[in-house]
Amino acid sequence: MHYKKITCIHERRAPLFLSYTWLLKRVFTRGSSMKSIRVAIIVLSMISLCAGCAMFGKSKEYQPLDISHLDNLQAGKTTASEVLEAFGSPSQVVKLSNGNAYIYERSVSKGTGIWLVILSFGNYETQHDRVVFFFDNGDILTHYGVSMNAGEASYGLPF
Amino acid sequence: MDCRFKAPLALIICWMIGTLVPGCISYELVRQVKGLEVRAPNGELKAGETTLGEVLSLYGAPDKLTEIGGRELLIYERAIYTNSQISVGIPLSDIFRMSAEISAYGRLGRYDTLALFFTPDGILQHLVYEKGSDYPYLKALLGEEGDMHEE
Repeated sequence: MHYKKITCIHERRAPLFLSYTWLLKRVFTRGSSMKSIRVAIIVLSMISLCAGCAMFGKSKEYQPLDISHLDNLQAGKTTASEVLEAFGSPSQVVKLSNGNAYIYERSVSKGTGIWLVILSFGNYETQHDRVVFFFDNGDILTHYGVSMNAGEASYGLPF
Repeated sequence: MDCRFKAPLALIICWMIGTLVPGCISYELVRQVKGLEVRAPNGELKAGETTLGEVLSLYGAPDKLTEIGGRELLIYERAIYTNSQISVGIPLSDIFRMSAEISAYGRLGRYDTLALFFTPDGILQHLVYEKGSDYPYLKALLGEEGDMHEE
């Protein structure tokens, strides 16, 4: 009875508010305390403000790269064709003054996005696994360098 | 008006403002990082002494590799891009077929770089190290060109 009186007052001024409180009244049935309604409004407000507020994503540039084959390589002996046989086609070949370098590369990117009403934050991190083989002019392996950092890519905030 | 719904009404108004305001004001901050932090060469790399093999075992595979004038150049690099944008607008398109909006953005790329030049024999000739990520974001973005090098 008391609710009817109040809703009549608001009906003329703000029909939207009326429908909102009417909905809450229906949900909580008659006799619900004001505290329950307040809690419900706060919860609904939080839900509506935080809807779709977070995103996580991951992307990969994949290349099969089995580093266990590195144990079989010997500088001064292994040839370029043996490296190609073990690791497949390189991502990039660089011509150097005294030979060539084969670069094998793959990457992992992780993205995080958060939207908070008027604020939005995004963070994207990309890390690589990379192996570089140096060959002399006779296509014999002279050096190689390995960086396996793709696993270090992480989700996070931009600050 | 003595109304028991005063508190819920205030909450509803807050909720409506929170729902409507995102179309008017927004702030965005996006950071993109490529690569791990580049370790500073603390005396472990010496021009004329350090070999290519030693550098590869210390630093791993380089991020970039090229040949310049008969010398090999290895670059280890971490790139940090920061983009921030603020927009303030009044959405009037439903009423006047036009909207007023003003926005400002700043995009900054900073690089930590270790560049190593080698002779054709694979001996380190000279090196350059620069830690761009130490520059403060706003100072680097808003400062005049060359300000950072004057410090």
